[in-house]
Amino acid sequence: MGRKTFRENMKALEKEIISQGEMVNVALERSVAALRSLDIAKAEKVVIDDRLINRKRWNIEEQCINLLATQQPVATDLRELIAVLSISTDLERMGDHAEGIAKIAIMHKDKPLIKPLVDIPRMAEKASDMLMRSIEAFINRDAKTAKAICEEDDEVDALYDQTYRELLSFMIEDPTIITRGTYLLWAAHNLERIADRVTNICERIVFLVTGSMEEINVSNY
Amino acid sequence: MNNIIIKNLSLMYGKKQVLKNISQEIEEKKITAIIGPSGCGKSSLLRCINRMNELIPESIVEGEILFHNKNIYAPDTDVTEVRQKIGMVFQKANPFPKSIYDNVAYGLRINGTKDKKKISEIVEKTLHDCGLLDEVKDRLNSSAIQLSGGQQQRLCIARALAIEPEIILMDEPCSALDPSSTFKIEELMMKLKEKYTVIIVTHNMQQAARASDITGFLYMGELIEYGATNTLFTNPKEKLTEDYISGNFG
Repeated sequence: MGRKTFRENMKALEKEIISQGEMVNVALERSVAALRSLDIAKAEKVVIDDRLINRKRWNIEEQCINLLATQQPVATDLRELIAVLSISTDLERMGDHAEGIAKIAIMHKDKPLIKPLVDIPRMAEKASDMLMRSIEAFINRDAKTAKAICEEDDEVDALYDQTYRELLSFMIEDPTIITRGTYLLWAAHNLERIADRVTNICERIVFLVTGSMEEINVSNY
Repeated sequence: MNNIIIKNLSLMYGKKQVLKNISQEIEEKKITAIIGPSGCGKSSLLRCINRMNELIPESIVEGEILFHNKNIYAPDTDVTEVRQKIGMVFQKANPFPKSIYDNVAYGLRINGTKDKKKISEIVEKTLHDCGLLDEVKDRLNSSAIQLSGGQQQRLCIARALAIEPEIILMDEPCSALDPSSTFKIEELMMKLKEKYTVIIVTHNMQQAARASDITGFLYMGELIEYGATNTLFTNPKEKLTEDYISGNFG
């Protein structure tokens, strides 16, 4: 087989994607844990570590540009490279959403949560599971699993719906908690967006494997 | 319709079969690139299109190539006329050891054009069309051999265009040129396709990807895949094509 250098570089980039995915997953879990217990130190760690996720994305992008310029990949090689570039961008934005959740914890300052969190951690758990399986599907070039993961976005949407309705009824009942209620809505929205971005990753996997660009499961939001 | 239609074309050099039953219609006023590993038959295919292979002893052509719906291999075909309508540019620029002007005027003169004013107009126009006029207008009577490699190649294209062909065949026209001259030829090809059908054989896959509308992949004398260049280079249908363009063999 030819193109040893290119293949080695692509393997290294795949490892970078796995690593970036794990960093985002840690940020996601940590941000929701920080919000759940209003642990400011933990939330600040998420904010600080987001810079590392951003830096990782720039590094990946730089390597992709170098490979495009020097190796001129085509066909599957080209689709792989484009998939890496696109997945890395989505992961970086997911990191920003996690950072957003951490900032919401910080914005609570010394005020308590308006209610114990139930559906938000469930959303986070589902999104995290989807994320890690999507990275695995990318490594395995598994378009079938990628498509199935896209369908699971409906579960996150349903949880978001539930959270939205619940928070709305809380705020109607007691307008003094509207500010903190809105914060939690933002947190839920960030999680909903994270799951949407997992579907973007899955669409890229389908593109990589089949060459066809298609929107698989259009989110309600 | 000046489409070239290749029908069941096979080519033998003695006992060696070089092209195997190729059938393909070549689109009019498009740039078609033929790619494939060395020895796959791409230059041979190109040379079949204007009957240049006949110059090789022991070559046997089977099948048909229709040009204006007439088989160019039919016994009553005027080969000179075929080669006038289907011009060719070679890998190595081969200007005649004459002046720049005479190189372009040569084909016109041997085809019987005597009107000096007309010849002069055509020379100027074709040099202009090939982006060469501004570079050589002050030295039209200087020897063509003094031109750079890229200029010589554009001169050869001008020479082919002067006799008003409909199809231009290019056999690795940039393989001996630097990137800047290569880009000039590619830009010229883009311009040429407004009026002519261009078929180019190239080793350089990036060139095929950059400069052609349609690409055909030849492997061991067989046309493995043929289609829109964008598709072929992003999502080829055949694994052989994928392996070749990705540099896994060849």
